[in-house]
Amino acid sequence: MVDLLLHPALPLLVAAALAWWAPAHIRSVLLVAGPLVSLAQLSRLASGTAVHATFYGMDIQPLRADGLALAFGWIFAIAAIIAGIYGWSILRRREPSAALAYAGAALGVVFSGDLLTLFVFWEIKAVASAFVIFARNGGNANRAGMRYLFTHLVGGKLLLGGAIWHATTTGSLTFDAFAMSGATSLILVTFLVAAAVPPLHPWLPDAYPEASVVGTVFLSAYTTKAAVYALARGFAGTEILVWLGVAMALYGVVYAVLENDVRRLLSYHIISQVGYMVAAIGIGTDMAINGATAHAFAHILYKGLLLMGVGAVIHATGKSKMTELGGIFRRMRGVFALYMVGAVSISSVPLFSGFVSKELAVYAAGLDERTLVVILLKIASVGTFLHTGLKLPFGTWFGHDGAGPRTNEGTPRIHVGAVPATMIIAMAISAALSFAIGMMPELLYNVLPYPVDYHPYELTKVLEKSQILLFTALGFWLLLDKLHADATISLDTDVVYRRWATPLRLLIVGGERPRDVRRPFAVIGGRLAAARTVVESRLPAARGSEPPVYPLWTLGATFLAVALVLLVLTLRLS
Amino acid sequence: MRRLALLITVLAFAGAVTRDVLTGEVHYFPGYAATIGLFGCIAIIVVSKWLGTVLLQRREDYYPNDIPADDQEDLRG
Amino acid sequence: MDTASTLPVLAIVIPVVTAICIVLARRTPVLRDVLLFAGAAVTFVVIAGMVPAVLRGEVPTSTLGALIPGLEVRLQADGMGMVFALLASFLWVLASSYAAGYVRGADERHQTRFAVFYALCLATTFGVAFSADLFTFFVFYELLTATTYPLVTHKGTDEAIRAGRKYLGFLLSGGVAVLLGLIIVVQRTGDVAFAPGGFIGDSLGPTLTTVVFLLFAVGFGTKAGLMPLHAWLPAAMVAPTPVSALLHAVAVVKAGVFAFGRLIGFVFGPDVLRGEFVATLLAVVAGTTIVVASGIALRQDHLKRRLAYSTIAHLAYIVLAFALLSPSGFQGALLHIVNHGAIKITLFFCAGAIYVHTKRDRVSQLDGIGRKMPVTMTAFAIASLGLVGLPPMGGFVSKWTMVRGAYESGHTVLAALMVLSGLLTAAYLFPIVLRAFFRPAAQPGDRERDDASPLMVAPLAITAGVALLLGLGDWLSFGALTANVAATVMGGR
Repeated sequence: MVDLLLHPALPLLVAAALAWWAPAHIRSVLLVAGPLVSLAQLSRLASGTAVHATFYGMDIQPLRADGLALAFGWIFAIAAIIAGIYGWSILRRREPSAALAYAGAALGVVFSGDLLTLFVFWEIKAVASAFVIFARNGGNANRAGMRYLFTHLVGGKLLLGGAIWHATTTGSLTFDAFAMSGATSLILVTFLVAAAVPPLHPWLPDAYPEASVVGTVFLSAYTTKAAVYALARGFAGTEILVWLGVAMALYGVVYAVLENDVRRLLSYHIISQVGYMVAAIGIGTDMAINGATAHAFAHILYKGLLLMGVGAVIHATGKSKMTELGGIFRRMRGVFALYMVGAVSISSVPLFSGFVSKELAVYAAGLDERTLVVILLKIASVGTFLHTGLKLPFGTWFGHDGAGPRTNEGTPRIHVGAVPATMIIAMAISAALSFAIGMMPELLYNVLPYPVDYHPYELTKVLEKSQILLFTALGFWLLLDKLHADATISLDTDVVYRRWATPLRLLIVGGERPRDVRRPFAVIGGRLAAARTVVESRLPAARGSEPPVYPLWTLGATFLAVALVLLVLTLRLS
Repeated sequence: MRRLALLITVLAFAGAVTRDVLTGEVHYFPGYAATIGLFGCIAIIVVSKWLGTVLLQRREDYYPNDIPADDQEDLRG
Repeated sequence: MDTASTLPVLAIVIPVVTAICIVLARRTPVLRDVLLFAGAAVTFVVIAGMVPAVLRGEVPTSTLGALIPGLEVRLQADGMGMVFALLASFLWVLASSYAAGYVRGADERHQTRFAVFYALCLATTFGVAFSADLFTFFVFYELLTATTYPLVTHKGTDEAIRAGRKYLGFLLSGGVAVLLGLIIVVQRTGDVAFAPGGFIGDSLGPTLTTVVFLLFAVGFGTKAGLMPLHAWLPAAMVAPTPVSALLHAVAVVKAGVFAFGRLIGFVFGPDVLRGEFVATLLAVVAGTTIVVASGIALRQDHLKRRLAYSTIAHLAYIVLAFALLSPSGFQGALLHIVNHGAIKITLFFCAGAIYVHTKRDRVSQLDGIGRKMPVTMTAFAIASLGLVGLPPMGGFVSKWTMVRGAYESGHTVLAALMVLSGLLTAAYLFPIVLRAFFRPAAQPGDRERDDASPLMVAPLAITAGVALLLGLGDWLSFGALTANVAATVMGGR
């Protein structure tokens, strides 16, 4: 029971509570100190530690530390420290508290040994991460954050239903490899939502770019990776994951081509990169789980770095679209250089972290004799380099304006403000770690759950990767004029609830009617809207002042309709 | 410029294939890595752009009630 | 294992004495407020003092003699009654502090009358909790309606009088239905003492069982706000907020769902009801109420009214869990009485604090108020999370247990409904939290920190803390109490 005090989530959650009330400068300190304590606790947490407890008569295991959990635990704590330093001087009022609770809950997910504890931390994570988005206090953060929150609440409810169902049928709450059943498929769907597997993914590119620049860095680290951990724990070797993973890897790449907003482009690349992890988990061999874990580890570092880089640009310029940016290279060289470390890492250029992690995951697929998977993943990897390594830096720092002037004098098109030193320091730490892992893969391989028998720096592997990258760069050069960004947005599956369901939402909640609710379900939309006006005239005014005087038949009819449906279902299915 | 790029690409591609044949380190087929890199890149761009044009791309103010354009001024330091 | 004891009687007598003292002290407002608080505190100590004995399995019992020949008024503090009484007395302590702050801040008239009926209302609530038989229960149940009426109409405006008439109309009609059922049961069985697992058996015959159950369900359904018998509840929102909090979190409506617990667990019993169509019907009506009431709550801009519909939905939740007839369902329902009590009283306290302090009562006026009233709105946020059933708040434990109950009884559809209805709760509560903390302040003055009176803020902070504590473990022994009750009623897991 004493071991429970070593739970790495504890200092973060305590710091989160304190940060809610603390004054500004203390908040920054808490944001870095919390994860530092957590890191210290991790170093004392022996693999194999397990704490059992009783909660309202249920046996739970709030702390279970083994190889897989510790690997994720380490990177989660490190990521929190780096993001905390990055945000040190530009934090918003509620940001530290939300971010600390979020990171803490993610650690809680990783170390939970039973479904109840998992659910507890899963939901805290969902709400806290939504608060991270809300904390921006501007832009579209509130609306996007609400969409994000409700997606994850739905996910959480599925987990709740699945976990209890599982516990009633099997009598066990243990969170370990599951056998497929109705209950566990609900749990699987929860994990897939959080891992942003298409078509359940739109919350990610919708909400991540709407957070503050610090918030996005935090977000990129935890939600999807906690889901990767949960999948690796519960569903390793589930065949469907292989193909979902491959689809993810390609899906993200396709959307990245069309994307204009730099943070949204990188968000689509999170989906793409998580695809490698999901595919590896689907393969499920020890090597593949190692690959997924290693890639998650490296990914958190370099994706954080990339988002910190473009975050610094947004912080300095107030712009986030490639059509608006460009011509700032000479004024932001340092940020550019650090960004490029992240870019070469994600592109798995030899000597950088992606090369020792991503290739491990792909290699595991090769060992399992899945040629098509290997080829598709390699093509997706081409797209990654193309966008994060070539197109994005080109469009952001150069674009049509070239390298731009050296100073802000002469009022150039874009004014570049100062970037705080703490932001640069955080990026430098991240870059150094990515480089160190690339140079010394053992650093990473030693924290993996299984022994690693893989040598990234063999001549054939290095040569093959170099060739792929070289020819991608040539292709980029050839098609440069096709790669300009368009000032458009791309439809994703969230069109279902952002556009098509609008009439339904208006019917239920009421509120202002937006300009046009036409395509593509114009007919149904029109009918619903008409029905709404009819019904609405009978319902109490949403913003009226008098107590509602119900036309009884309307309420009664609704009540009867719902009751009938429910009655039939209950009698049929119980 | 375009021509130069094309020339270099063709030469490099030929070089890669030749190397594979000469050294005998053939993975699937000679020039495998170069093909993945070059044609993968082209395929991704072409397919995505096509999908974007016929299906996916919309005006920036497509979603009602969202703040349009590049409104990140509140994030500026 | 009955133990003769005066403690259950004391729990009812002390509030009555408090009320009398308040009348005597009407000239000194401070003394009056202190008396109300002291009475509440003493009652709480008396009731809490019985907890160890009840946990040991004893049942403190007192007999007060016959009111009607053959029908004795008996009181007993069994596990189920204890859960309700413990909750009510604890929240009363906080509510009395809050009420003092509220009536002063809002400058209400007739403060003495208010305090007196507040105390009397609680006295009858404990009577409901500790009734040992159906007849005693009925007496206190009706008294509760009577003592709350002056509180509902307290403002004396036309609107308040109308609401009061609606309140009496619905609840007294419900009372008539209960009385009819009671008469039939008394005639057929003679003894009406509550027994875990039910005392009716097959004494009524199949048709009469159904009829009597329906009579009781309709009667208790009015108080529990089951649709379509709920209309009095939103109307009663005209009452001052401490009353709304008391009505909605503790006394009246909880007496209604508590009555369902007694009805299902101690009068009819699961063995009689299992397979009865009426039990499924009750579950379906409750399930429908959850959906429809939540839907209406979504449309309310008036904060208290939104909370009122939320109450209707969550009471239906509890009734649904009782109607599942499974051990976990029964335990979950009792737990949710406790958790919903702590949570909903917090929400109402917050609504009242906002109203008294800023004169705002609409959701749309609350932009950025989290900056001005951080403690109040943090408590509101915590309570919102709890009501949605999110961990680590207590609401999550009760939800978990209730959903388990649904699976145990094989009602997959109802389980899905219970699980997903949390989303509706989120949909009507989270936007408020979002507004309060993450929208620009509505008025320039709102940027400065300026919370309501400590008399109001302290209670709501404590209730929010309790709502949180309930989810962190079984520290307040409600888990053990309710598990015992569920085991005796439903025959173990």
